[in-house]
Amino acid sequence: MFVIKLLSKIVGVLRSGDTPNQIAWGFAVGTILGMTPFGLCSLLLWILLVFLHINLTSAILGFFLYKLIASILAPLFHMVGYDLLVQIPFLIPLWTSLYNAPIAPLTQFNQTVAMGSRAIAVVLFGPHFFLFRWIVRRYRETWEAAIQKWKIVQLVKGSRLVRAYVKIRDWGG
Amino acid sequence: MRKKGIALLLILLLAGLVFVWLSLDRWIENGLESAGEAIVGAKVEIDGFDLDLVNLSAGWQRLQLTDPNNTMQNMVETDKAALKLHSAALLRGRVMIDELTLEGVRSGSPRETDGALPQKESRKKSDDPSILEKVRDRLKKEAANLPVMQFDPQAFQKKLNVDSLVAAANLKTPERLDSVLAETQSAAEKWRAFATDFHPDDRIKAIRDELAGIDVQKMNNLPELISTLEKLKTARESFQSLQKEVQDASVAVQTDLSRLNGYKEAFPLWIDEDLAQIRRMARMPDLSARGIGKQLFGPALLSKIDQVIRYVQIARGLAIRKNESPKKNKPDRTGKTIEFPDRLGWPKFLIRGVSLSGMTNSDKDQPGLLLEGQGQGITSQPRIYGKPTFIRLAGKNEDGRSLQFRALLDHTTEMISDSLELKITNVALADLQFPSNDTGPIRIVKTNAGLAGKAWIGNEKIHMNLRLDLNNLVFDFKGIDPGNRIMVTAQDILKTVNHLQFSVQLSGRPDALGIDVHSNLDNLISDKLNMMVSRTLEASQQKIRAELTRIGNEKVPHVQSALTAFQNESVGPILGYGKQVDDIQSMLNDKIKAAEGKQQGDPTGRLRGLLELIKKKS
Repeated sequence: MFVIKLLSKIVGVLRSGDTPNQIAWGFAVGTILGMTPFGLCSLLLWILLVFLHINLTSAILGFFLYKLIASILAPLFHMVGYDLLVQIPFLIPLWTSLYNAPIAPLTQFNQTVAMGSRAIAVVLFGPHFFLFRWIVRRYRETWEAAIQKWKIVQLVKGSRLVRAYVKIRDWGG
Repeated sequence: MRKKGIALLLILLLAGLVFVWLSLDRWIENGLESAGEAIVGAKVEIDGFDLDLVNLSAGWQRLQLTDPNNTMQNMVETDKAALKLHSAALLRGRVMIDELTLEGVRSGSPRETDGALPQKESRKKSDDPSILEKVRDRLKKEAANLPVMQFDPQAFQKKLNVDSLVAAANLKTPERLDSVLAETQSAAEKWRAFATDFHPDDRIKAIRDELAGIDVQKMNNLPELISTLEKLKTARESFQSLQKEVQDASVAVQTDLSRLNGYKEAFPLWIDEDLAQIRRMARMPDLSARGIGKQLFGPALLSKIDQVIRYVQIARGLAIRKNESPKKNKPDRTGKTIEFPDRLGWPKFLIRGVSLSGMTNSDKDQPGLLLEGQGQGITSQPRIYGKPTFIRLAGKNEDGRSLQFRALLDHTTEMISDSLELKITNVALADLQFPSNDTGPIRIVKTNAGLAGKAWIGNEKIHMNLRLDLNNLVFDFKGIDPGNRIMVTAQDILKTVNHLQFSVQLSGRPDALGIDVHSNLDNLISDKLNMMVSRTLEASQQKIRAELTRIGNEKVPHVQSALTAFQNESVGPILGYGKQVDDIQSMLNDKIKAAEGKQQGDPTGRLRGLLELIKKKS
């Protein structure tokens, strides 16, 4: 049921009325939220997400997907964070200034896993955005018609379970 | 759709804020209690905590720090407290309190509930114990190894009993007499063996016959003269050989005899030596001054010092907290917090100043001394703050009672240096028992006490001096066992004493800590007990000497008999040969004189020349 729901959500996002840019923005921001630990920065991002006109569902999708990945990648985040905070001499004055500045210490910037995950999330933000935008466009232009013809999709769509789920889903209009 | 979402989010945010607002005080209160319990090792309770986020101030109505040594009473209890947080520091993730005011601080107040922590929550012992933990361990070992104050009256009586003393002593006189006896028997055996080979009788007879056969009157011509003189010369040579052998044997046997006879003069000296040894043995090294102080008051005082050190340890833990040690779990999973140079000199936690007022008694109706105090620089990161922690507490009453406490805890560099000073005067104490708190037979019903202590604690060294003066003493000796001579003696002395003084000194590294406990009773009691022993020994000296002589005299007849036998069997005959040799010497001299008379008529002088030659050779 969960898998069907997830697939339905993904398809729903791809087929929604939002533009590919809005969907890709949502997904990319969601990946940042998923990778980084909860704190002041993530709170601000969540607020931005609500206020800006970007796709929330894709953001939540990105968040959950990368939350799972982040727990596996924690040692990598620590390694990157440690290198950034300790091994690169020209950055140390910047960190020292932040350490002594107001607010910044509350963001846990000097925590290796937090720093590493943020750095990687920021670096991957662009690729995530462009990749997801390409996927949405390709889906709408080419893949959708082909996928609808897949036997497995026909089978799934024809099943009582899915029809019942769609009915319930569409009740609210 | 998005507007609805924003509204929903705002509602959620508002609800969250209300929840946080309502719960924040409780969360902080719980956090502070947990942190305090980790340091104290017993329950810490804060009632009525209130945080004002608008004015950045906080306070509580009541704080209780349970005494970990007695969890049914509080080590410290306070009434109202107020503090103001530093806003700029708070924005930088630091908690800085500019001024903390504590009212109604008191110690020893009873608790309504047990303040012990559940076993699993009690503070775990650090893998790397601090110097104070090491010192406390050392004190516990020292207290456990103190000699038990169970004086054995039988052992004491034994020390004063002549027979027991003589029996216990390792006496040398009998051994020496045995040795003389063995030597005499050995010498007799040696001379007996000598006598089997030494037979001068035949040679004496031969020389005597030879001399008797020489007739100097028959020297009428030269050949007769020469023949007579040749005989004289031969007899003389034989005699000289015999004389030497006999004389050597006589000297040797006489030397042995006089050496063995020497025991008669040595015998009284040997008894003196044994007597001195018994006197030494009767002295009681366990009654040295230090010994009595330690035995009588050691356990109680060391227990008190352990308690004091425990409080110092807690005070150090509250005032200066070590930087948290790295967590044990793998750092690559949970990460690591990197610290950078602090340009503002703001540690993670700091109380710049504390003002407190309180009392020494827990009872508000009888508050005891009214106290006031200040504290400065109470911090979790003294090296960043760069200033030592300073605590001062003082109180005085009209009746002369006073308390002063000062502490300077300097952890600003690698070399830790904590100095503490405490002075309490004229405090009324009651019902103190020694040597142990439970069964001590000496009970001080009431007294006025004064306490002065100084301590310095470094990284690996500690120096502590503590002096306790008890004046206007009223004792109760009901529990003293009349057979316990030390305690009875102590009682006799204490009856005349109005001032007791104890001093304790701890010094050095924990693994080689010097612990000295002294009191003004030490010398009094030890002198009195040693005097008792000396007097008894003095009175018994003649008895001991007689006993020693009796033991010696049991051996003397055997030695004397062996010596007599040696004298009769060996010495007498050898000396008898000497007498016979002397007789021969006279005969020889007579013959030579006669020959000299005869040579007066020798016209050629040749006879004279021969005689001269014989005389020269003899």
